[in-house]
Amino acid sequence: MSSSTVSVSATTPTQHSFQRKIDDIKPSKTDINFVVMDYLVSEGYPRAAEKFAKEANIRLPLEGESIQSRVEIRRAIHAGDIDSAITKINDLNPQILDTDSALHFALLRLQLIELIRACTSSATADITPALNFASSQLAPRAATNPDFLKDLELTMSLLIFLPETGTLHKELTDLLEPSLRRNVASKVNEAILTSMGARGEARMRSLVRLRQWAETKARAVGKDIPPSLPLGLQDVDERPVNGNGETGDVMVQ
Amino acid sequence: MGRSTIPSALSELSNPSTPEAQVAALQKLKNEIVGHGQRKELAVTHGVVKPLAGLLRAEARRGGKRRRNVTNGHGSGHASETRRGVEQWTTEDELRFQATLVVGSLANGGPAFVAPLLAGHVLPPLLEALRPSETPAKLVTTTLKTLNQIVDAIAQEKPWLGMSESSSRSSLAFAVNESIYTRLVIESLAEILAQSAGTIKVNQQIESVVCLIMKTCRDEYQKKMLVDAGMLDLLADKLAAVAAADDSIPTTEARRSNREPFPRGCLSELLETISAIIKDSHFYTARFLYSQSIQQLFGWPKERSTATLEGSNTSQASSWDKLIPRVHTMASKSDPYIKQWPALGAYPSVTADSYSRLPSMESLQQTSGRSVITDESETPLFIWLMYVARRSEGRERLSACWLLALLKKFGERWPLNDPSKTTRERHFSYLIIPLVEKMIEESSPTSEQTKRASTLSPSARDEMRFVLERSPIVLAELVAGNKSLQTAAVHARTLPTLIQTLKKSFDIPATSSKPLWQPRSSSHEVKDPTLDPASSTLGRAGLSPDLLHAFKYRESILLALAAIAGDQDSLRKMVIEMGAATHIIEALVPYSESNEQSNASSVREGNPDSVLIAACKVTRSLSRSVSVLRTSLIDHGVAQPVFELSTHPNVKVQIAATEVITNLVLDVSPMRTEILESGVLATLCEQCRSANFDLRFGSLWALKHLCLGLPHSMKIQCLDELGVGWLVQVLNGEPSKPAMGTPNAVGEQVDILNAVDEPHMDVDDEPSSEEDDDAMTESIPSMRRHQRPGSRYTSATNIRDRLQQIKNDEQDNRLNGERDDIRIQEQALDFIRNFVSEDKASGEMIDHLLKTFGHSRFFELLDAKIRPKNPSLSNPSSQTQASSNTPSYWPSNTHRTPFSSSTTPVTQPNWAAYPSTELILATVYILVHLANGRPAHRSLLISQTTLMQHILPLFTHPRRDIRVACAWMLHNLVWVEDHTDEAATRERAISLRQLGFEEGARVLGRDMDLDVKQRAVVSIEQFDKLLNGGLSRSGFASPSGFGGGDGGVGGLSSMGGRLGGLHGWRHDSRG
Repeated sequence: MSSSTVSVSATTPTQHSFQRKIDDIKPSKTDINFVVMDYLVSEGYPRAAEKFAKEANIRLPLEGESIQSRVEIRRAIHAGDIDSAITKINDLNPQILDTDSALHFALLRLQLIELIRACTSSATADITPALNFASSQLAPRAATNPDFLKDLELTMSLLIFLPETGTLHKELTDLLEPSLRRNVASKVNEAILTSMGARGEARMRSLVRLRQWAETKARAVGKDIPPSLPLGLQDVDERPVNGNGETGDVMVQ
Repeated sequence: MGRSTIPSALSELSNPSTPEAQVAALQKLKNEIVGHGQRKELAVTHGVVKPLAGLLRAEARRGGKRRRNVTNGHGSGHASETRRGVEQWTTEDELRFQATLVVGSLANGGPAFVAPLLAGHVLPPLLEALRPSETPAKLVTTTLKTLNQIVDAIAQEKPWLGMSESSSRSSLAFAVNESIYTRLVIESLAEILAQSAGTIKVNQQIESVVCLIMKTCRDEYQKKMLVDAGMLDLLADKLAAVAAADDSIPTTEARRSNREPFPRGCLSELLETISAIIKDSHFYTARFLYSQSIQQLFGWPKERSTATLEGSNTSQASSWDKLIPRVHTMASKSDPYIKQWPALGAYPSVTADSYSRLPSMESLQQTSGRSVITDESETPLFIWLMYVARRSEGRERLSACWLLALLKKFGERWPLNDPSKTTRERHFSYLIIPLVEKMIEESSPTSEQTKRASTLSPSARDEMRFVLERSPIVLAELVAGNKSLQTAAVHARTLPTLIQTLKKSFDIPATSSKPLWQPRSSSHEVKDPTLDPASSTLGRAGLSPDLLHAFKYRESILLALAAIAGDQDSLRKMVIEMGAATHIIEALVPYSESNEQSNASSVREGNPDSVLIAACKVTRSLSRSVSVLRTSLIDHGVAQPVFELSTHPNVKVQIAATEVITNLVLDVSPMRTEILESGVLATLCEQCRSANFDLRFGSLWALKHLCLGLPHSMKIQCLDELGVGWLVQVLNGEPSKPAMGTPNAVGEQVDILNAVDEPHMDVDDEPSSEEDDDAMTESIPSMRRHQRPGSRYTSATNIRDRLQQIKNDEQDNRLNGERDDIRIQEQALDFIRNFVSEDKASGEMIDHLLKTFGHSRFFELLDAKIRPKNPSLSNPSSQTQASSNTPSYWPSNTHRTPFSSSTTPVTQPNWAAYPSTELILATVYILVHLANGRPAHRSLLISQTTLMQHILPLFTHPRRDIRVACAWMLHNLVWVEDHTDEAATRERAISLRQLGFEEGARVLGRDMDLDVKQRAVVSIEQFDKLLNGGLSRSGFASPSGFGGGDGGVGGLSSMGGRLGGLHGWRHDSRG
């Protein structure tokens, strides 16, 4: 299976014997379609999934409703509207945040960061809301877990080292990066999927990992493989999140 | 900041304005409390439970009524099917929905929150909402989830609350189970489960029901209720649906149509639930195995081929075989497979098309190896489960192994079409045990995977915990009582890992999670006096998940050790050498309520009951080895903690402790004196009067062991404490006890107890007629529900008979009562036997016994155990012989030798009319010991003519043990103590001859069995010497007659002791 994704980049000028082997393998179209559809559904691209279903002439999995709410939740987190994201998660299934305190804490911390952002944006703003929020929502929990405590302390120090005042420590700038939101959003997505009894992540991700593992193993034992085996997907993380078109492109070749 | 909204939401709830406002209030409340323990507490103490319950109740009533009206309005039955889909989602429904979510969130807070919920009667309206015909599907799903949350919460309850009967009834778990396991609720659940899977919503509902049953089904009454509601058949249907996907046969159209797509994801839960129901019950296991869908899919090859005659191809039966690698029972040395053993997993089957890429190698091996190998296949269901175990990982793999272990146990008791024992052993030891071992190692706290556990998601962590808690039990169940599997389980690193993990389980601090920080110090606000105190006060907090986890895996590791060390001394030594003893002793310490207040910071302070029982089991296993008993067990001072447990408030702990004591008080045990000094005698005698049969039985067994080799004074004390009256009562059995043999349907006399030893069902019977099918489904009501048209097995009658047989064996109260009665009588007889057996043969104990019982009463008691139960019922041919009215069994003046003709059935007594063999054997051994007393005792015994007449037929008993015992008795009776006794012995010999015992001795002398024969030959010589002066035959009697006899004197007296001792050790063989 791992080799099937490789077939995408099968046009190296000097044909390595390994490459020829790859070319000999004809992965089943249905399998590829399945993996693509799985990716689109689990990562929450309903419109792309719809289009893809039409294009590849396959049936759309019957979970439209939950894709929609997952998309909304993700959008809210990306936009920094954590409060409504939490409400939406609770509407979908309150058990998720009730039982996964780490996830809940991560969301609340994100909310705290937004509050701090808001009150430090102007010099005159009041920091009381942020303090209140931290003491009522995050502090009780922080006492139970050293990791939480560390995270909270780090976040609170944002209040002291105001972003505009100059260069911040790397750890602090990380907190203000949008990648943190994305990270939390994908964790939430995973948790929702798991709570519905589905696999937490898209199969494609595990396939890519499997391929990576196989490559490392093969190199470790000195197998004859090309010096570099590109995935053909470039840097997945850097793609715009609503890249319906692009994801479709890559998959359909 | 957030605090202000709770009171406002509460006031809206208690004084509702509009439904919409209520919904909004509930939503607000939900968002407030999710994930916030402190706010949940606040909500409960402000009295949220009462209005919630009221709301749920009112809506449930209204909703139910409304929908019933709707259904009535439609008038037609099929409308209800489509109705649910188009049903409007009303504000009232939303209200219920939100309220249910709030309840679920509160329950997530743990057992402390469940207590007020129960007190506020939240459960009944929730359970009412389960009726799929009256409730919208979305609400059913949510309600099921909430129920699961409640059940999860009560699982964290402190286990020692259930110490005694009375307090277990007050536990939350008991209350919740009692409400769930009612007929109506179970029927609703069955209805939900019966829906055909497919859509996500239905799948979620089914999954929730399966989980709910899996988490709650523990007790016998629950299992019965589930099976009666047809739940087991429904679960079997679902399992078959999953399995059908793996069936490599191209399915025919008909078959495909009734298979529904079912989520593979909850296969593990499905397997677990089935296991939970069939565990500890052979009958339910059989119901599962013979359920229609399982039979259809996995039908034993024979039935399957007949079933498929109508349509498809013939190679179906073997198609399952391809799922697992072949494991050959016998392989010759030259066989190329031998080299392949390590690569077993890589050997796919030949004909499967999917493997056609590797054809050449396969066919080569096939031809070379085949001829020398016995290639016996497993049953299809086993094959599929093994395949699942090998294919999957984690939870699913473990669940498949667990079900396999349970089914294997059933197969040992009721074998049918199973492969030979060696084949099964090989399959398990090569395909299953390595998987379980791997799981034990990977899940142990020291492994790599577990160290990374903190980075995992909560569900992955749960799975890892589950694997650690369950895998040792699976191993225990797999290897219990099977030496080769025990050995197979030990050769790897399993044992050290188990013991290390056991050690780890004691290192977890009881309060691993620190309390939540509070911004303000909690000022105790004055409570609103109008609030209901019960539903607004938190209950007792539960245990931390870490601690519960530690308890669970501690228990299961102890059980695994007990199973591994169950039968082989070498393994017991290994367990000890690896340092398990310290931890086992630690696990024997009970939790005591008193030290909870003082300091609950450490697990070392005690163990819940289940761990105590497991620790007792492993101690018992280890104490079967004399050397372990004499070394490490005494070094670690096992006696005292075990003895203390024998007075534990939980009767199950008492039983387990008593079973350990049974081994500790043996003559060979160095702990005997210590344990005697702590007053074990009085405790055991007291326990013999317990209302619990198992405790009575175990205590009497322990007393039996204790009695052997005790000084006279203590023996007498023991008998006094136990009471002659009590013994007589036990030996007489229940007054209303019916005869052991009862007429069956045809009126034949059937010995049920012996019949169950041969449960082989005749599968070659003629196919049944249609009526039989109907009769069968009628007798098992739930099967009728799921019968599909056009499907029936040819051997339906057979299956029904077999199920009935298994059911009777397990559930018939009378039968079980009789069996218990026999077991305890046997112990009572053995107790008497050990009481009279002495090293010095002084006869004092016999005298004491006869005095306290009274001669006639004592002999009458013994006589009752060896004569036919009810002479009038026995068949005519044996009546004349077995009847006690016949004055002389063998008239001494005739030369007829009845035994020579004993091969003809006419003279064979009807053994079915006799008491059970165990009782006869135990009684005869008492007589052996009586005959080993002083010469006077021999005369006394011989003078009991009726008794002696009843012994004579036993000389031809089919069981060799009884004949051996008879031979010993005769041998002892004609023994000459010294010169002075010679005349008296001659008289005894004459009486014996008159009773027909000389003939009897000759018969025994011709016995097939060497033990019997040798003993009898000595007796014959002795008769000869005494009655014929020993002259005429002296030539024949070898000189060793005297010499051997001399040796025999010493050997004889020690024989009694040794026999008693041997008998005492029988405990060894018990599971």
